[in-house]
Amino acid sequence: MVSMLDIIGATIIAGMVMLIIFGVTANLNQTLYTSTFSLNVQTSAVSLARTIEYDFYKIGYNVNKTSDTCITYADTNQIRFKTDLLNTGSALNRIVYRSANLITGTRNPRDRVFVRQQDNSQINAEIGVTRFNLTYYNVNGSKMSTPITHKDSLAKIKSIQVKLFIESSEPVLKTDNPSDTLTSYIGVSWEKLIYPRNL
Amino acid sequence: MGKVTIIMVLGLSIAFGIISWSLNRSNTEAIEATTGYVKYSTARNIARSAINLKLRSIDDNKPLGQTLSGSMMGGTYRVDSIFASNDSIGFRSVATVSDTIYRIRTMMQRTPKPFPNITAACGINVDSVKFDTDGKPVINGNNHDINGNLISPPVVTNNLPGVETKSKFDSATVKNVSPKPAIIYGSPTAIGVNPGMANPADFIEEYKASADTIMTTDIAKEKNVTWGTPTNPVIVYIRADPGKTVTIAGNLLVYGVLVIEGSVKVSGNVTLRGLLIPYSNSKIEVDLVGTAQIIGAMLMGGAKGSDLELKGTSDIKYSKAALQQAQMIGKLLFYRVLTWYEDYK
Repeated sequence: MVSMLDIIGATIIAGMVMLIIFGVTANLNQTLYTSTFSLNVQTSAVSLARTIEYDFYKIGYNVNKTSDTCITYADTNQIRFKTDLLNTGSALNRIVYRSANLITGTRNPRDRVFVRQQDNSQINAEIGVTRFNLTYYNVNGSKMSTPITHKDSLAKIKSIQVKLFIESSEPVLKTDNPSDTLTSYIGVSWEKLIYPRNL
Repeated sequence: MGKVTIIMVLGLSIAFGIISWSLNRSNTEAIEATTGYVKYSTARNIARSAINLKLRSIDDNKPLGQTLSGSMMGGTYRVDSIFASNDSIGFRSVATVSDTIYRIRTMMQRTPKPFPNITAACGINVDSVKFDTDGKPVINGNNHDINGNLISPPVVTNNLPGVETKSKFDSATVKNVSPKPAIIYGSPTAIGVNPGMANPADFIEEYKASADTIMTTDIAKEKNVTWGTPTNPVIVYIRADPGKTVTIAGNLLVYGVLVIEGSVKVSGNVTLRGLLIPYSNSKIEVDLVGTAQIIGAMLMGGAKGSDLELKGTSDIKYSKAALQQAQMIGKLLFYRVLTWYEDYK
């Protein structure tokens, strides 16, 4: 009888320990999951920010402004410009930045393909860009209405505000809504007003 | 039972260890990504600030070609001049923060701020000026080179009148000085009238605020003083307090703009290559009685009835080149970016 009680007691305790272990493991997995997505989002944001800064600060470099335009098209989600990206002094590069179609292969309903095109080479980045917004300002700091297509108006652009929001491709955070368990996404926002010195 | 327990404990330890390591790795990588961006941003800020410091050093009359280096914001910087001409300069700025190096290569156009429009070797923007001469003062509006040699053959369009006043009345005063009128040359006329001539009052406050040297006391006879160089002109401001006269009896050589406010008597050997501006809101007396030589021009402004005396062997030689040189005073230059290239590694 005593042995039976020992076995039953041990089984209950073992079950409780197992439940605790499963709970802890689940929480750890969740944390790991969140941490990994957070890392991905942060790394993507930093990489993209550095790429944008690298390119945007060179807008118009080595462009003959009397016969050519530095920025050839400017809209809220797209910009096209010319620059001598690698300081070769020989040929100008044509660079395009734009956010394109929604990505269908992820659960995030807002992430879009982010496109960087350099001459004939195009990179379609599916890194969770949910917002890519460009605002243009003239020499007086006044906001310019978009799209800007005319040569004279394009020549008046002196600064560009870039707003970028990157989210995880999968939901990772629980919301306060009890019926809605995993619908929140980790996000990173980056915003900068860039004054390309060659404009 | 004991073996199973040991295996379970070991298995769980390994599992928790792996999870813990993964979490730490993710955190470390996230921090590295963020700090990498901070290093890059800091290096960029340092490289840009270093160019501003370089421009400031030019303002402070440091040699253009001198390398500027130092440390700030947790990093180091070095700015080298890679090109310099009268109207443009080029720099290479390199900033280092930890393992991040940020480089900027820029060319800038430099242009002087608006300078008084000189229309005569000696412009007198004073109503009812008292003009007195003695000895052998010579005022020559024909264009001279930077050393004071008359340009020959002359380019007529570069020559100016010797003296200009605001009114005919004042031009007659200059012309009819007796018994020893100044020797005045110029083209198309030796003495002209220009009611719209430049007013020193429009420039004087900036020159006073930007002065490299301010003198309020006499320069003794035995003193030799040089301010500025041909490539590094300066602003010298000599101020005489009301009721007092500053006497320059020593040997003075100035490259740039010499502003004289109040009553000043020049009895020594003064050579100015640039622009002389005697000026005051009240009546002033400017006595050039020694061997003053002005290569460039003079533009006088003052209250009605101010006094200009040219005695001894004072020479005022108009020199377009000397005036152009005087305009390139570091503090009075605008910079415009022509090209700007930055990258990092």
